[in-house]
Amino acid sequence: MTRIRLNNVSKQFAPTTNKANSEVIEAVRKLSLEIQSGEFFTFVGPSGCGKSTALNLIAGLEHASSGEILFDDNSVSQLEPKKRDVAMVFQSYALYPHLTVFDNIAFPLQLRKVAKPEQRSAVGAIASKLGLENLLERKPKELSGGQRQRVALARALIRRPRVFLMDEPLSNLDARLRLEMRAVIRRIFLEEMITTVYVTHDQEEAMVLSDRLAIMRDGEIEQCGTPLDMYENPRTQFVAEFIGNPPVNMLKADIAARLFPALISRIGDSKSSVNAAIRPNLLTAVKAPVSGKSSSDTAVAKLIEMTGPDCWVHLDYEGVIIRARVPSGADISAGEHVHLEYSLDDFIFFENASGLRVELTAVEN
Amino acid sequence: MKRFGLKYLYLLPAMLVLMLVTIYPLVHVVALSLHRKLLIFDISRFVGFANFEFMLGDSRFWTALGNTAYFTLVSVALELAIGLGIALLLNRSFKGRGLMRSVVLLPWAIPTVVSAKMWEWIYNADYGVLNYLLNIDINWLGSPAWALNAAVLMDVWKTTPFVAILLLAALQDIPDDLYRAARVDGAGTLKILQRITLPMILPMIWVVVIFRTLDAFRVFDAVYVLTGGGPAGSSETLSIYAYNLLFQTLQFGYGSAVALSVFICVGLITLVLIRAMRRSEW
Repeated sequence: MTRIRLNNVSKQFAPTTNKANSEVIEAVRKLSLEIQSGEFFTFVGPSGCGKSTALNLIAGLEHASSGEILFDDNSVSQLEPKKRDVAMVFQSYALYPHLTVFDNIAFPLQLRKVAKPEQRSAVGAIASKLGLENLLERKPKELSGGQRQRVALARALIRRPRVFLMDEPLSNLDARLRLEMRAVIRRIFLEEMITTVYVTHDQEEAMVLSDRLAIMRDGEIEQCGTPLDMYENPRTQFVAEFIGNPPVNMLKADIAARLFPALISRIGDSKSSVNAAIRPNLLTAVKAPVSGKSSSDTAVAKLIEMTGPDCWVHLDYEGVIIRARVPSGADISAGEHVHLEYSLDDFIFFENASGLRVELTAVEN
Repeated sequence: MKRFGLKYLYLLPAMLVLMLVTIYPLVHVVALSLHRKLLIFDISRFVGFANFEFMLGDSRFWTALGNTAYFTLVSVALELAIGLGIALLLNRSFKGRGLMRSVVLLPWAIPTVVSAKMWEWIYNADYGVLNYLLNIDINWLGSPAWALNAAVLMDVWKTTPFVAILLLAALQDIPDDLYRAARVDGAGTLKILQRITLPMILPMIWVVVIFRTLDAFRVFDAVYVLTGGGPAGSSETLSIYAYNLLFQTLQFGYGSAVALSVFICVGLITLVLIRAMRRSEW
């Protein structure tokens, strides 16, 4: 098992020569990070945030412009991928179209001149683990998306690399298959216990799979921690809005104070400089307020979203959309005026200008 | 009219043109080859396969066939090797790549007759730049040992760009991720070339070999302008021999038989090569 450390790693891409007025792009900026051995670590963020570049730097497919990358305590910054002993799964799967499934999976072993009988037994073992036994003679073009994905996984796993890298491996699959393969990836990780670095733009995938994750934005890490920590204690407004489904309600403080009257004791004088955030599942839509619970001003139900186990309502308040949970049994339909039950402690606040979390404690009267 | 018949009506004009310019001449050549037809002596009679029997014993025919095979094998092999090298170089990113791609194509853009005339001067024994540069004195086009090779060199110079551009197109179709995956899997530059790049462009290599072999086997203008088939028939190819028979000596019957032998050889080569190409497809 291998521990990965990144010290102040930056990566600039030279401007493309054939385009006028293009500038140097800094894809990753002063990245410092430690990934524990045997950990499932995820880089997550919107497209262009530098997460794939970070992965390529660890793989050795790109070389850092500055900074250092260490596996355990040895620098690998100057090493080619083959010397780093990493394996990688690509979004496109990158299967070799002219080779059979067997040869695709055995390719890394063939390059290392592993004897034929050992190749066969190793491929057989990994193929049965991933349900590919009957496909070994096929060519990639004869496989479905899910099957290609599993061949790519098998090829990466066959030689038990020091580090296992995955670049958006599930993005090209349909929703159901994605859930299935998510479970397969987590199961394989638990069996093999190889340090894994994963890249995705899907926050839910990142939350479900990872031991820890880093949210990236504009080439820098916005926040790094366990999924639950990120969800409950976002350090910035960006993280709060990125994590969670349905997304967090982010309201300007003055609107929030009118909708949730009790908030005024926490917001006080910072009305114009902060945003108030609350998760939709912590707001309960009711037709009539119940005494003893904090209850909001009325808002108009615009849209009901029934997902099966949960039911969500989109409310319009002064032109702002707020999402809230509809408790089972409550019969709310579009057009109705409803109240929201909330708890003052569930709100968190972010400074407008910097996007940073601020603590506003309730002022006792 | 029923829709069924309509589609044949649409095809009719094209079919008529094809009949006129391809099928009819072909059939006519076959018919001519079965006749003894000499315009000079006003002879024209059916002789069956006599022309072909004569051909089998005609040493000038076998020399021409040998010259044609030599020209084809050597020029296609060299064009493939050099063209692949150029394509691999042009597939890398460097400053001025776009310009280089255009420059490389130039020899191919020059008409064959023009470049043959040009090379005739390059090869000129007394004033040619080749002898000047090599500081030797060889009669390239006048000596039987060199004449055919001189034609091969000119053909390689002229046609390698075509090979390079086709192979470059195939190289650019290989997704970058395959190279990245191979590097992560542990392949070095040579292994990537051998296990990824070459197998991936193999179908295109066969296309190039087919195109070039067919063209080279039928070669006429390049050699004819340069050497006229000489000296002493040492660079005479089948097409030139057929031309000489048909239009220099007006032996329409035997000339057609020789021309038909080119057609038959080319057909057989194509069959074999297309089978090889099919097998290489992934």
